Amino acid sequence: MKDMGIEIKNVDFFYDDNLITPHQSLFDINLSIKEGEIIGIAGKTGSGKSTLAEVIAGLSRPSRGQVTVDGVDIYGVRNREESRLAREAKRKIGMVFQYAEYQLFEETVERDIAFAPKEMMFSKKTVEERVNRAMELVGLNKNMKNRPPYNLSGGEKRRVAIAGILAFSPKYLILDEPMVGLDAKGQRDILNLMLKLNREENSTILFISHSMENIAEIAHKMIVMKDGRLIVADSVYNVFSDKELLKTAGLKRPKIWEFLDRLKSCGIDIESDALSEEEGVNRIVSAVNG
Amino acid sequence: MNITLGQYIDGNSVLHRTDPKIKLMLIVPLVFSLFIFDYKVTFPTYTALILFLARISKIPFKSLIISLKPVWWILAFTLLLNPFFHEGEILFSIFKISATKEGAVTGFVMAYRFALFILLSSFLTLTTKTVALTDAVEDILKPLKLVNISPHYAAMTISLAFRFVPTTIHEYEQIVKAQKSRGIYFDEGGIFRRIKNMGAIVFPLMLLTFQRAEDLSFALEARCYNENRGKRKQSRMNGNDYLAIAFITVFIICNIFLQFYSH
Ligand SMILES: Nc1ncnc2c1ncn2[C@@H]1O[C@H](COP(=O)(O)OP(=O)(O)O)[C@@H](O)[C@H]1O
Ligand SMILES: [Mg+2]
Repeated sequence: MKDMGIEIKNVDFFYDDNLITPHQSLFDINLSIKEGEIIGIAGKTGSGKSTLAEVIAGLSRPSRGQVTVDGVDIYGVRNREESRLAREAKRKIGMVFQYAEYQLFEETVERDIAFAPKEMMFSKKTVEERVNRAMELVGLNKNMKNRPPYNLSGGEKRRVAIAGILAFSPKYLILDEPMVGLDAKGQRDILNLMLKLNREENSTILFISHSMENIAEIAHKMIVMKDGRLIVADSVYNVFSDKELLKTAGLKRPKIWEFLDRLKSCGIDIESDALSEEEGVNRIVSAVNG
Repeated sequence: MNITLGQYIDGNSVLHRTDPKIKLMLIVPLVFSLFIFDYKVTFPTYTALILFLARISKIPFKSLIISLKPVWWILAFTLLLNPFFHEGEILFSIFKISATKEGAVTGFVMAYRFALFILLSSFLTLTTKTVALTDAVEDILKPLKLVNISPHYAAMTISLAFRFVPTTIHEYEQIVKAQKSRGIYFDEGGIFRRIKNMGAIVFPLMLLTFQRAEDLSFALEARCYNENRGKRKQSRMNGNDYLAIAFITVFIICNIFLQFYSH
């Protein structure tokens, strides 16, 4: 079908519970997300990344504009039938909040993960399958099922929370700074999880991150936000090639790219535009072998 | 953060310049007379007082309305439920439960009085910096020393609680969104399901709050917090303070007069 994917058109967003004047945190956002993409969202703190993510996830109604998911307008509901369709469409999207571990509330890990699929009225058997699959995906051991979520480690809690979203198999997955506050291994695991979901489950993934390295490594496309405006949506390579753009957005190139740039400025004959460490190492090896 | 529950708005009005201690102490008789006198007296006078205070302090009307936001559901419940719990002239009935005119009036009076109370108190936080308010509370709590409680810690605790109201509201909103993204719709289903779903908000919120209390106490200890820090100079009463006291005294006397001599 031609209108599959998510379309965001002319979206403005105001926080109107503000004091004197409403605070506008999104200005005329236009964006289309195709099925199967991994998109990284970058931008300084307060640039509107989280607000945009919530609007796309169907959780914050934009003050103006439209969001369609697989052709269904999720906010412009005029009657019962449209409301049912909008709800169905919203269930295709799962959002993992920043510090998602704070949303856990059930007595056991299993019950917490099962919460969403149960709420969506899947059969008992399906719920169990979904829970098992979700735990497997995030790498939680089966014997954790009956533990209370509160005394797990930070990284484990985060995985339980992510599993709770994966359990209803959202086609579109939005993650708000999913790596923040985890140790190196925890970060690596989440990164691999996103890749795996994209490859094996064909999930479309949108993630917010402050790490240019992480975005460069796994994203196909990248969005840069500044002061509530979307200033670019392009391939990761194109964004990092544009020095001016990076400067206005206050972002840096991935470390490996900067490192190769240094080598180049020392007179070594090398192409510096590497997006991953692996790619960088290969460049260095071939420069040395000359 | 931009969420407010009567957060300080900068200004230089009489209200801003009055000693926080005086403001705090004047609120007490004001609230007291609001609750004991006849609503036919207090509703017009207090409404006028609030409009007047808003005018002289240049607090936007919108900020006042916003300060009612955290209690709107209490107001709504009071208005909606009271008609069904009083005897009197029947307005209409559903399922053999009758709404009465007397009940409706009672609900309105309770809700309006409560709203006046909140509005009045919000002037305190809207025109006083948190730090100044803490100091004022501390001064007023001095007698606690007699029972071996540090007034400083007591004041600190109270003002920290105030300080975290906006944070907690923010977290509440975040948790609601997070649970919605798991497909929980809080405005749906039967009463039992709704109560059960409330748990999905209440438990994480409680946990967060306890955890923050713990973090905060560690943070304070780590910075060697103790009550002798940041002692400020004692202030004397000035013209503003006398004006404020005089004004509120006259206001209350007017209410007393209206209460006893108007019939
Ligand atoms: N609940 C809220 N109420 C009012 N303003 C908010 C709220 N949440 C965020 N904002 C404001 O909206 C802007 C964008 O915030 P956000 O989307 O959280 O940015 P980011 O995720 O990029 O750090 C900021 O200026 C922030 O202060
Ligand atoms: Mg954010």
